[in-house]
Parts: sequence; structure tokens; C-alpha cells
Amino acid sequence: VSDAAFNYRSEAFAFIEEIDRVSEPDAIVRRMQRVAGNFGLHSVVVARLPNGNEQRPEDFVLVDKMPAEFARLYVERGCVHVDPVLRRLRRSAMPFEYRTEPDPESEPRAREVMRFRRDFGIRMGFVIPVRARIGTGLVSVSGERPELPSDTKPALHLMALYAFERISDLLRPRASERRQLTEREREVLRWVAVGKSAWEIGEILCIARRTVDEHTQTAARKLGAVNRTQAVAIALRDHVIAI
Amino acid sequence: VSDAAFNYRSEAFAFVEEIDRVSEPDEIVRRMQRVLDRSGLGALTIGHLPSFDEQYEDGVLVVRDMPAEYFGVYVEGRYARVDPLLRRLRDSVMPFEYRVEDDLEGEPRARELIRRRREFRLGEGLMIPVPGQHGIGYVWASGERPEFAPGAKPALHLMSLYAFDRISSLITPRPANRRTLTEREREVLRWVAAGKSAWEIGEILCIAKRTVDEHTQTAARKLGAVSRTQAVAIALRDQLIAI
Repeated sequence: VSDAAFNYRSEAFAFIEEIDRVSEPDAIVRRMQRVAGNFGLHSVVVARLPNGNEQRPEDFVLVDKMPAEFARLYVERGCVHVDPVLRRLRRSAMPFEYRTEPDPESEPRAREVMRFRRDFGIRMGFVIPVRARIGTGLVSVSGERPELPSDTKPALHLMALYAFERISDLLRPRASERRQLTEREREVLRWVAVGKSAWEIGEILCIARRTVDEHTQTAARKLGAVNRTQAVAIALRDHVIAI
Repeated sequence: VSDAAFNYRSEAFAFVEEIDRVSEPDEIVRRMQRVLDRSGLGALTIGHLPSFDEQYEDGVLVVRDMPAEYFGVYVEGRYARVDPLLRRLRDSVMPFEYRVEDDLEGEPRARELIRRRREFRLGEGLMIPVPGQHGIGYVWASGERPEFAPGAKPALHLMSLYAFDRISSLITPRPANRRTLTEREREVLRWVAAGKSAWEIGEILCIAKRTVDEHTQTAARKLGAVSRTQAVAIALRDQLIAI
């Protein structure tokens, strides 16, 4: 075990102990950045898993230490749909590494996303999947260094979990304000979630089918969903309804 | 930094480094117990969180030093449905300590379960949710009167993440008892949950719309859902997919 790795570990535990007293998301990420920076990884991103409907980076990025252009271009170019890193993230419970060097095996669109990262000076990234109350998320540290010593990974993993939890806690009030559903809207959504049609829900609640549709649509709009299935998914994820 | 905290750290990181070379689940658990013992946690169960309509025991991967009759009593009494510990686990992403629960007015069955757990000396403990390949898992350590030194909980958290990952790769859960969706079916459902149409999903995954519909229908059938919205709701609830 190298000395550097050893300090890293104490740092991870100290980080967890102190994190509840830090109330600025930016300060939490700066602290991670300082630690990861020792290993040549200067870019830190804390984000929730994008679903492809996002118009702006701030719709899914919680905090990032990247050039501002990166996130904007990432969204504009539709990288969300083809990014091999996101694809792997959706399947992974444990942290993984990616490299941006050209891989002749991968799809052309996936290769483009990796080249896009390389253009921003990223050779390697370490991605930590996070299951959070606000949904699946990730913490990624990346940079020019091609290697991350393997004994530092568990420490970064641990830090990332607590950092994500704390940051999403700090940012949560703002998100939930937008999501005030009426009791009726939640009731309708619960029935939608158990597979009932608008007509059936109307019968159950003794209201017109059109009123059911209106409730569903209003709920979807408040949740930022494009249809009723996504509305149900978001409502379940954010504990607005339960089934 | 006290001696105790120092030991927890090195124990945890050494454990994580060695675990890939340990191929006996029992040996992994034995090593964890060295650390658990110091906190007064004697009994250990590691498993997958059961779905609502699944038997609790189907998800169990490893038990160690659990009272022999406990599971019989638990299954016989059908306690999984009223277990406040399971309920809290479903709602948690970070480790939590549980003490004697007092907030169970009007839930006589839950109170009865807690009383019985105390009789088995499992009254208090630490529950650690862990993300798994097929939904959420847990590491449950309990005892009569556990005490946690500084650093003990993050250390156990870290160990649990890697122990669960390793053990679930060594022990394949009984497939007949678990509703398994294929990777492709889960991928399609995730996009459905994100509000995408079958046509859009076909474009994203480079497969025919008809194939997308087939995947959605198969997934819905496996989950016992009558609509794609309900399929998404069940898959989210049982943590088969995450958004």
C-alpha cells in the first residue's frame, strides 16, 4: 500500500464524518476534486441519470467541475442516447472505469461521444453508480491521467456515495416545490400505476373520463413528464405515490 | 484519530482488497464478523430484497449465527408483509441503525414481530442497503445492544457493498423463484419509463419497433401487469429497473 493511498483512505473517512456539516454542494464537490486531483483526475460530475428528455444540463447535472461548454454540448449533440458510459451505468451496481481511446469494436455514434470527451482532455474516467432517493445517479471523476491506482477506488467509491446523498439532500427542497400534486391527482396516478384505463378510473372515482384525463395531464406536467407512463415512473421514484 | 477508528479503516480497506481472491461465501462472512463483533453485532443475514409477492426466504443468500428458529417463525407468521424493518429498507439508500421501534401504534402485528425479534436477541442492529445486479440487496447485522465506534458504520458500509457484490456473484439466486427480466427487457422498460414511444426506443436501441413491443409485452407478462405503465410501476417498485 502506497503512502498516497493510505492518506486517501483517512481522507475518505474524514470526509464522511464532516460532510453533514457542509451545506454547500459546491464545497463538497470541491473537496472531492481536491482529493481526486492528487491522482490527475480534475473533473468531477455529480448527476442524476438522464432519461433523454432533458433540454438543459441543469435538468440532470447536480454539480459539476467541468468546462461549462462540456455539459451544454453533451446535451445538444444528443449524447445521452448513445453514450456507452451511460449504457454501462444503467447495468452496473459497482464502480467501473472507462477509457476514451478509439475502440474499433464500438458503434460509430458511441465512438463519437468518446472522442468528444477526449477533446476535453479526458483520457480516463471512474464512474460510481449511486442509488439515491431521487433516483439513480452517478459521480464521475475523470481527467488526463490514464490510470487510477486500484487501491484508491474503494475510497473514492465511499466518498461518492456520501457526497451524492448529501448533495441530493441539500438540493431536494427546491425540486419538491415544483412537485406539489393535489390529493386527487395522486389518487388518479395511483390507479394509472396499477394498470387502470382512464375510463375505469372514472368509474372507480365516479368522475368523468375527461376529468381523469385532465388530472393525469396536470400531474404529468407538474412532474415534468411527457406521458402518463413517465408521470407514474417519476411519481414512484420521488415517493409522490406508492403502490 | 483514535486507535479504534484507525483499525476499522484498515480492516475495511484490506477486506475490500482481498475479497476478489476469496471464493467461499462463508469465509467472506467470517471476515466481516471480525468487525461486526466489535460493535456487538452477532447475527448476520445477507440477501436480495424480496418483491412484495415473493417469499422472503427466496432472497436470502447467506446467514451466519442467526437463531435457528427465527426464519421458521418469520415465514410461518407471514411477517414479511408487516415488517417495519423491510419497509424502511425499501425506502432507504444509506445504512441505518434500528433500535426498538416505538412508532407502531395501531400495528399490533408489527409490534408482535418486534417483540419476537427481541426474544431472538435480534432487537437492535444495522441495516445496510446495497445495490445489486437484480434489484436491491441488504446486509443485516443485529444484536442485543450494539455500540458503534466512530468509523465503524462507514467501514461496515464499505465492506457490505463489496461483500454483497462478491457473494452474489458466487451464489446464483434460485432462478425459479425470482422473476428475472432479461437485460434487453429491462433496457426497454427503462426507456418506456422515460416516456419514450416504442418507435423512439427502436431508434435508440437500433432494433425494430415490433421487437420493442415484444420485449415490453414479455416483460409485462412476467411481471403480471396489464399495461406497460403498470409494468413500469412494478419494475420500479421491485427495483428491477432504476430511473
